[in-house]
Formats: sequence, structure tokens, C-alpha cells
Amino acid sequence: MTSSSASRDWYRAVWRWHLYAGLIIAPFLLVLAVTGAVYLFKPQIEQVIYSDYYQVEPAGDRLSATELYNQVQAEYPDTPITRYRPGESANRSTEFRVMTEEGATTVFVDPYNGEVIGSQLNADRFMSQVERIHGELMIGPLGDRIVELVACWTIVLMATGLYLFWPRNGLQASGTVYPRLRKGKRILRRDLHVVPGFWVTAGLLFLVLTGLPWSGFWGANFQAIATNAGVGYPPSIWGGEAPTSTVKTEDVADVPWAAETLPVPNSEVAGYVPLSLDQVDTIAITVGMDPSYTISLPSTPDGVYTLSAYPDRAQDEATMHVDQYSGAVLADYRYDNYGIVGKAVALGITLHKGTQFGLPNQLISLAICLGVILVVVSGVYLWYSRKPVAKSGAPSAPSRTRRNVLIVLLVGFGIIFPLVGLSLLVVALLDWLIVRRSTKLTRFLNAG
Amino acid sequence: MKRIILAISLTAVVALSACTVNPDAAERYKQETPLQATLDIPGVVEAGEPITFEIDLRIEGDVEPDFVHLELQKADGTISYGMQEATRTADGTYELTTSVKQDGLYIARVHAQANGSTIFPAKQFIVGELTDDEWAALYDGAAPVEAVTEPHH
Repeated sequence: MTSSSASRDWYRAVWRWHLYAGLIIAPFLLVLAVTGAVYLFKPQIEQVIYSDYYQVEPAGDRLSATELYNQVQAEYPDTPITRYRPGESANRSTEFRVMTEEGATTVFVDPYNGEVIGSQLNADRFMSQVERIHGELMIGPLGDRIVELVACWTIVLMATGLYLFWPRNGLQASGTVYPRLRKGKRILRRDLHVVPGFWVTAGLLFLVLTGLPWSGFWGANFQAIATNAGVGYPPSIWGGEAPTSTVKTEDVADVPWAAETLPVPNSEVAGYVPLSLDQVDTIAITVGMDPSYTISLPSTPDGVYTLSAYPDRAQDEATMHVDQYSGAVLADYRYDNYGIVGKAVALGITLHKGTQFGLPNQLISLAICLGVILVVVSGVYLWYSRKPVAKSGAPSAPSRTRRNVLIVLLVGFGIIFPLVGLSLLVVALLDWLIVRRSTKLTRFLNAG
Repeated sequence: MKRIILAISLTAVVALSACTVNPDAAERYKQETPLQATLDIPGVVEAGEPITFEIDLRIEGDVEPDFVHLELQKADGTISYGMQEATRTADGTYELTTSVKQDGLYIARVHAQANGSTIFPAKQFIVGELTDDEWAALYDGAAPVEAVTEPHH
């Protein structure tokens, strides 16, 4: 085989992978790009659609956290209150999270008069729906794995796309940086796929790599390995347990609530009592939490109050665990306390969400999302317009040697991203069990 | 092809065995040295009689606490005896002897600081007899929920 025919064989092999992977991934990538573009503007969108819940008129002194807590508990008797968020500005309502039978619900309260403004089931919030589509296609863990797979295969698509596009006679601005509008429809169709692809590749790779650490499988394992190695997030921020309160359970004040009519001796009553929400709120202010902080309430006798803030900038993040009886700070993790991987992941998350640099961040990410939509649509159109009738239009399958080299490369990729390895296994099984046994399919897919 | 499928299967099985965060992983990150205190209150306490509160502090390293105070207050907030300094005894614990005038449900709160760690644990206890209202308040869980004072931060 001459070097030029070997090169053509390689080109066809890569093209084949790019085509099939692209066609399978395209609809998912489109969904991710559209929902991602919407989710970028979560702060602005929620500010508009929930302004009635968010906005309050400052009027005198705010009620204390405990007073507000008691107001909400009175409205929702026998319903556990799990979280308190005072609100980051004077005209922002206070939020409590209660666990109703329907699920986690946010109750909005006017902190100046204690009036409950309204409540909303968290799962019903518009942005929760968008997030569920973007993160798990609204089908739970299976969807999460599919999104992760799409993200991994997007890297394969970008790598194969770059190989196919890379001009053998040197880079030229036309057809790379801008499309050639007067060279005929065939060239234009190609450029409408390649040019936006050239522009968005770096940005899309960044979004994929910064999104993967949130994924349920690869991300969870990656985070656990990084945390265990001392270079990730400290435990309890992403994975791992929070510390427990140090007071022994038997020393906690324990009133026999069932025996409501019988007085009990002091030895039964005397014991440690938990801090009030006011006291924990004072700790949050004293230690300088970002004003957007939330306080998660302990749900067990040895649980802790968890103070956390995840504002726009990663550098302002904080997570703190406070002993519910003594007020001792058991753990205080700020951005500076993250390991190097933890810092990169935290920064990646805020950049991915478009909050790190405000509007410019949102607009750049929006441009990437729109570029991805254009690449996906033009890619499918490019294939459809060129493909012969009743055939997939894929180049013929490469020689056994090249096929195996490519598969070994993908297996290597599959070791880093196991779901890709699993999907390769599924493809190989489908090929072996179905495609190879059907002449019609073999011909359609040009897999002979 | 079969060997490749086998290789992928093995890789996937090994890689899919999920990692978890080790229980001791926190040791690799910033550590706090929280102060701990145990407060002992006599089993029987009568109004007008001396009550001795014993505070046992556990501090990391050989350092003196910045302060050890005890705040005494009726649980319903009607009587406050303010903050009083506990004195160090020969065995290294801290002690305060005082008395209260009325029967009722009380809160004794330790305020202590050392090594930059501030704590304010509190215990509730009964002096003499409780009224029906106090029993009702106690059963209602008022003492654990209501704030008594601001922390000593």
C-alpha cells in the first residue's frame, strides 16, 4: 500500500467513526446546547419569573432567624425544616426548605413581618426542569449516564473532526475562520459545519471537561479519587461525610415526650440543649460567610449545622460544619483550602455556569452553545445532503489492521472514561450480533 | 475481535467499581482544633442553696484558655444572672459556685475560648419544683429551640 492510499484509508476510518458517532450523539448534544444556553441565564430568568417570591419591601428591623423559623413551623406543623437562607440583600426574601409529602419545598418569608409570601415545590421550578434535562434528560441516573457518555463522545467527535478538517496543505483563513460563500453549495455546506466547529472546539472542550466532574459516575469517582489524594475538595463538600457533633447522645437533654403528663426527675431533664438558629446565624455572620449563605439544620442527635455559600465566584465559596450543641467549628473549608484539583473543578463549575465573570462569561458561553447548535444542525444537513439514497453514506470500513489500531486508541480512551469503553462494547456486540449477520445492514452501513 | 471485547469488558469492570471517599481523607485538608467542654451540674438543686458547676475543658496543646465564663438564666428568660467567671481548680478543671433565688427550669451556658476556638454549650436543669406551665413548656420543647443569649463571639 502506498503512503497516499494508506493516508486515504486512515482518513476514511476516522471519517466513519466521526459520522456514526456524530449521528448518534447529535440529538443529545443539541438538547444539551439548548438547555445549557437557557440555564446560563438562570439568575436573570429567576429574578423575573419569581420576583413576587424574591422581592420584599425593607421595613424596620428584621425578625430573628428563630422567630422566622417558628413562623414557618407554625404554617407547616409536623414538617421537618431542613434549611434556612436569610437572603443576600435587604430587599430579598428569606427562604426555608421544608420536607413536605410532595417533596422538598421552598417557603419564602418576609423577614420584616414573618409573613409567608408563598411556597414552591423545588422540583417544579422552571430552572430545576431545565437542569434535569441538561443533567439527566429527565430520566434520572440513566439519563445522567447518557449525558456523561455524550460528553465523552463529544471529545472523540472533536478529535476526529479536527483530523478530518486539518488541511494537508497548510491552514488557510477561508474555510477555517470564515466560510467561502461563493464557491458553490457543496463547499458552503462543508464550511457551515467546519467553520463554527473550528470556532467552538476549544470552548466546547472546556465545557465538556468542566461539566464532567459533576457527572454521576465518572465525576463521582474522579472527585473521590482527588479527595482521597488530598488534591480535591475536602470531604463533605462533594463526597464524604461531614464531621459529627462531639456531645455524646446520652448527655443530650432528653424529655420523655411520650409520657406527657408525668413530671420527670432532674436527672432525666438535665442535659445539653442544641443551639438556636439565631446563635448559628450569628456564627455565620461573625465568620464572614458570603451573604448568600444557607444553614442546613441537623437531622440527627449527632448531626451538625452546615453553613455553606456558593456565590457567583468560586473564590467566595465556603462550607463550615458547626457542632449543634457547643457551637464549635468542626470544619471550615474555603476555596483556599481546596486541593489544586478541587480549585480547578470549583473554578470550572462557576465558569461552566457562566457566573464567574458575570455577563461577559454568560455571553461567551452562550456563543459556544449557539455555535454547537450550528455545528450539530449543519453536520446532520451535510451528511443528509451528500448521502446516496438508501445508503448511510459512510465510507467503506477500513482494513482490519487500521480498524484494530483505531479500536485500541478508543479502548485507551475508554480506560480514562469507562462509559465510553462500555459503549464500545455495546457497539461491538451490536456489530457482531446484528450487523454482520444482515447483508442488508452491512450494505447500508458500508461495513463490508 | 473477541480479545478486544474481553479487554474492554475487563477494563470496564475494573473501572466501574466505584471509588468512595476514605473516612480519614479529612486529615489531608485544613484541620480545626475545636475546644470541648463538659459541664457537670448537681443532680438535686434547690433555690437559695449553693450550686457548684464544674467545667472540664479539653484543649489541643498546652495552652491557657482566653476565658471560661458561665451564664445562668431562667429558660423563659425572666431572670438572668449574667456571665460569671469560672475559676481554675487544682486538678485543672474550672468551677463556679453560685445560687439562684427561684424554683424553675434554668439554662447554664459555658462560654469558653482557646486556640481561636469559641464554644458555648448549654445544659438545662431543674431547680426545686416546676410549675404546670413550666412542665408544659418543657414538654413543648421550648428550651431546646429558643435562643437564650447571643454567643460570646
